[in-house]
Amino acid sequence: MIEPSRVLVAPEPRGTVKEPDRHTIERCRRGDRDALRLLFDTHGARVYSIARHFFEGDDARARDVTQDVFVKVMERIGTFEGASRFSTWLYRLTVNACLDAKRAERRLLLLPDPPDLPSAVDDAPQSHALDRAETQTRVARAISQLTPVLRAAILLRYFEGLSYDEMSEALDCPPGTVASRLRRAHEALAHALAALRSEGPGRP
Amino acid sequence: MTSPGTHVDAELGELIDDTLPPDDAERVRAHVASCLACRRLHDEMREALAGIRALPTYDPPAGVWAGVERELDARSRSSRRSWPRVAAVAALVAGGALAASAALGTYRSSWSLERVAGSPVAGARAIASSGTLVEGEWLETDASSRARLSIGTLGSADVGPGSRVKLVQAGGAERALRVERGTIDARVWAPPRFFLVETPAATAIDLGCIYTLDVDDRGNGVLLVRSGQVELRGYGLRSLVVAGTAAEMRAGAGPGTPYDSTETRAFRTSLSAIDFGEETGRRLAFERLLAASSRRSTITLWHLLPRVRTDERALVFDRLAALAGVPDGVDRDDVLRLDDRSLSRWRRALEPSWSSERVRLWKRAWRAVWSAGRGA
Repeated sequence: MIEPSRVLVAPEPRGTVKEPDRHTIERCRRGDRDALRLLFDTHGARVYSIARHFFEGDDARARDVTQDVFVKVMERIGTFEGASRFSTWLYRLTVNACLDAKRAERRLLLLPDPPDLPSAVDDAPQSHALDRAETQTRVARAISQLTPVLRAAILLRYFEGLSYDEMSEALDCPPGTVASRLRRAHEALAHALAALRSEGPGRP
Repeated sequence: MTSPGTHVDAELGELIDDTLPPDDAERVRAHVASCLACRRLHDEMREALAGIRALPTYDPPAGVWAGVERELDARSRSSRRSWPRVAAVAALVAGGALAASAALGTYRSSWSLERVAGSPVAGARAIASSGTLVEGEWLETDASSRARLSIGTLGSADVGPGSRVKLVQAGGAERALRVERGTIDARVWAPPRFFLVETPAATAIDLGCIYTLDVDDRGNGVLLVRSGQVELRGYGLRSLVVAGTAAEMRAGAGPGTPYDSTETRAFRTSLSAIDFGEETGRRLAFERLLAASSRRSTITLWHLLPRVRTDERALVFDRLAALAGVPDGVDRDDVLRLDDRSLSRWRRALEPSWSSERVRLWKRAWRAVWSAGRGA
C-alpha cells in the first residue's frame, strides 16, 4: 500500500522552452513576421496544447484559439513590458482567448471533429496502448467537466507546471485566489474522475 | 485545526501538491490513512493530477501559421501595400533576383488544369487542352465550358459551366478555392480541414469527401454532400453536412440548417423561410416544418435547437424527442438552455442515422488510405 501522498504529483515545468531574447521581442514590435514565426515555433505547441486540452481535444477550436493568440501577440507586443516572463504573458493571452472562445460558443453550433478520424498532424504511432488512451480520455473528460475558470487553472498548474506566483500573473488574480481555485478544481476533478470510472470504459 | 475525525477533502490537493505546511500535511496524511472515503478521494485526485501531467503536447497543425499570416494580412492590408515593392528593390540591390520576385509575389505556386469542354480561361489564357492556374488567378468558364483542377494527389475539383473560381492557396498547409459563382464538384482525399472552398456566404471545410457546391450570381448557394462530411462555417454559424444531406447558404446570412436531400419540397421551403426569410412568415414556416418533419429530419431539428427562439426551441425538442427519443444523459431543461454537453450527447446519439452511407465503412476506408500514406 502506498502511503498517502508520499508519492507526490507536484507540478514540474513541462520541458524547457527558451524565453525569447530582447532582440526577438523588439523585432516583433516592429512588425517583423519572421520574429513572430520564431515565437510561434518555440511557443506554438504550448498554446495549441493548452487550448486543445481546454476544449476536450477539439482541434478546430484549438486552432482558432492558437491563431487568435499569435495575432494578438503581434498586435499587443507593445504592451509587454518585460517585467514578467514572455511565457507568462503568453499564458495570459492563451487563457483569455480560451475563456473568450468559450463565452462565444453560445452563438455557435458545437460540432467537434468526427472523433475517430485520424488527424493528419498526429504523428503518434498507431499502436498507442489502449489503456493509456483510455486514461487520457477519462482525464480529458474529467477536465471538461470543470468550469472554464477552474479548467484554465488546473491546466496551467499541472499541464504546464506553473508556480502559484506565475499563475497569479497569468490569471491576473492574487495568489490566494489561485489557491482557492485550485482547491475547488482538485475536488471537482476527483469527483468527476470517480464518476467516470464508475461508468466504466468504452464510452466515447 | 481539523480534528482527526473530520474529512479533509479541501486539503487533499495541497497535500498531493506538497504545498501544505508540514504540521497540516502530517495531520491530513494521518487522517487519510485512517479514513476510507478520504483515502479514495485522495487516490482519485492523485491519479487525476498525474493524468493531467501526462497529457500529450501537440504541435500546432501546419495550417495554423498560415491562418495567423492571413489574419494579419487582412488586418493590415492597406498599410502594408507599399512594402513588397520596397523589399523587392532592396533585394534587387543585393542582387537577389529570386528574392525580389518572391517579394513582389511573382513566384507563386499553381495547380494543373485540364479542359473538359468549351474554352475555359485561366488568368487571361485560353486553355486549349491543359495548363495551369496560378495562385491568385481566376478560372472562368462560359455556358458551354468545363474544366478540371487537380489538387495535387489529393483530389480534384470539376468546375462547371458559368463559373468564376479563384485559386486562393495552392500549396502549403491548406489548399483553398474561392467560388464567386458557378458549380464545383469536389472529390477530396485529404486530411480533414485541409481543403477549403470559400463562397460569399460560407466556407466549406472538407472533412474527407465528395460534394457539389453551387453558387449563384448573388453569392447564395447550396451544398450537397455525396460522401463523407463537410463543415460549413460563416457568420458565427457552423453546420455539419453529411452524405445524403444538403444545406443552403446566403450571402450576408451564412450557412443554413442542413437537411436530408430526400425531404419534401414543403419541408425545404419552410426551412429556407426559417433560415433566411422575413420575420412575418417565420412562425407559419416553423409550424409547417414541424408538421412535415419525419425520422429523416433529425439532422435538421438538432441543428435548429440553438438557432431558434426559446419558445420555438421547446417545440423542436418535443418533436425531436418524439421522432428519435431522448438518450440517457440528455435533459430537456439542459437542452433548452443550450447546455453544450447535452447537445453534444444528443448529436452523438443521432449522428449514425444522419448519413445515407455506411459511415463506418467510409471512415474505415478513409483511415486505410491515410494509414497507408503515412506508412509509406
